[in-house]
Amino acid sequence: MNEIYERLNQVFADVFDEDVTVNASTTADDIEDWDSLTHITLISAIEEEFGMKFSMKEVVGMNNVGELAEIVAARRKR
Amino acid sequence: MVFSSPFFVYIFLPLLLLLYYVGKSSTWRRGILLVFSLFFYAWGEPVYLFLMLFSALINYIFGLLVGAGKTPAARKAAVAGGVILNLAMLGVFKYAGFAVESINAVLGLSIPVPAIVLPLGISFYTFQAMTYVIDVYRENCAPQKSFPRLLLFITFFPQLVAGPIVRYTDIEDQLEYRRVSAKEINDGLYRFAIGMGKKVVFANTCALAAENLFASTAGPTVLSSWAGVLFYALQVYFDFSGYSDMAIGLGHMFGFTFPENFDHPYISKNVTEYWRRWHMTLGGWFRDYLFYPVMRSKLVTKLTRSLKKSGHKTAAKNLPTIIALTVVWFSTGLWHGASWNYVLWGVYYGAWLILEKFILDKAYKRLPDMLSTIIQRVSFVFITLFGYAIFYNEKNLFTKLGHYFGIGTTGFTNVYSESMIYENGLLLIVSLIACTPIAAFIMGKIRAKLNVSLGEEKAYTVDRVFKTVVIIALFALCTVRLAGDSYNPFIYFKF
Repeated sequence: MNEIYERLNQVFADVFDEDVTVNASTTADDIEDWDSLTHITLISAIEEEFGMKFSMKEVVGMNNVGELAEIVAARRKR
Repeated sequence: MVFSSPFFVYIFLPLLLLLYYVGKSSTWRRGILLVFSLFFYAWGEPVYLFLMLFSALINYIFGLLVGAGKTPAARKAAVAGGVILNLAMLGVFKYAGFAVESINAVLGLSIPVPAIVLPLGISFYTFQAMTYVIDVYRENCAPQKSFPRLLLFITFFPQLVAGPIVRYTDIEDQLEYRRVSAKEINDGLYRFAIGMGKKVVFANTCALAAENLFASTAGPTVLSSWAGVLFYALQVYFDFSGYSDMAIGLGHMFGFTFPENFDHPYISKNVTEYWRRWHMTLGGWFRDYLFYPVMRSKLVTKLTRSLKKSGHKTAAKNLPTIIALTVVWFSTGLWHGASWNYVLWGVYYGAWLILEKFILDKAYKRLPDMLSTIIQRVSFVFITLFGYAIFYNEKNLFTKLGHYFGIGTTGFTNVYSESMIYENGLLLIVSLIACTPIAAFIMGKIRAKLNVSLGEEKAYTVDRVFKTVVIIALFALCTVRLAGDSYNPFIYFKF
């Protein structure tokens, strides 16, 4: 899980152009530029990073970074 | 049939409420709503009623097909089929004439233009129905097995001909079970009365002011153009948000909760915020069903990858958003009407959103707060008004737009323009205040005070009595105004 967060932090920093540190409880409210448009840019970047594709339901349904990391972890097990 | 008409208010609605509440069973109530919804639509569009029924049937079948698909490929094929059929219907009935006219204009041909009258509400119900099929595909909901239930969702009269755009997932559970009591009726009637007041008192009056300013016999001036479009902006807001209020209120009376559609858009600081507050269900629709798919399409993903590989990191990050926003806003414009001024209007807003996101927001951050706020607010007013100038002028667009900059006018101002503005000065001030959340804010304060001083139970009774008085007063006022008014169409009926 730690490794996932490390890589997520890298992706977040790339997308938002600033040094952000995310944890399980980080939400879109915590990062100023994280709106519904940037959300999808972020998702695409994460998909590229981990080499997976989320379903539309997952994309719209994530409530915080924790849920996002869970999905990534679950996908890798399969 | 128009909500703000005596027939609707004094015959259709009371009769429906009575029949709805005499029967207790859910089936009876759904049946009554369905029959009245079909009658409501047939009142204005007897022939196109069959088109709507056909659309519902098609989407019902495709919903089942998507749900029954065993493999991802089968499901994809079914959803694609459904989307294509919906768009084809919309294309034929809304855009065929426009397409032929455009082809003729570009190629200098004279292919006969098909004379198809736009079916009432087709843009709204097609989007709603299509969304249902896509949501089944995305597993946001199970396919609806009962045709009458799906038919009720698509034809349900409060949300049928204009916004808010209600998704199937919004009311899926409510089609089965609804909470209804005197409280729901009271709240619903209150919301309906507020909406009717917005429409009959404000929108219709602002419409008249706008028309008088635009149709000045003394010739257009710069001032009459800007003042006219200001009244038009107010008219559109009261007209459309009033309609949404009425729709939400009507839904409430029958135990349905519709999504909100407006959140005081004119107090926005910039275009980005404005589109989060204006026609919210349409913005949300384009985000979930067009922006996201375009962003996630194979083409865009490939483009991003190759840009990244060749070292263009910033472009790789931003270009997909710019492409998707352009597609979305071109479509939003076209959705509003089969005419190039709507397309231009959409692209105009798309361009502003892109500018704000990638350039202006960063620039404003470097300025002192106060200065940046002033610049943003002032420019927002002019951007919005000029947007409406594009939106309003289906004919002679560029001649009309010139008037805003003194091209082709008889001067900056004249006696007629000024007297028109003086005459409507009070209306302007009251309307502008009514656009803000001030009234809601004061009401909230009073309610909180009463809760403390009277206790919750008594405060609740006071609230009910107050709402009932407002309902009666607004119904009376609107009835009187409607009796003497000949101007009462809803703007969004033509979309």
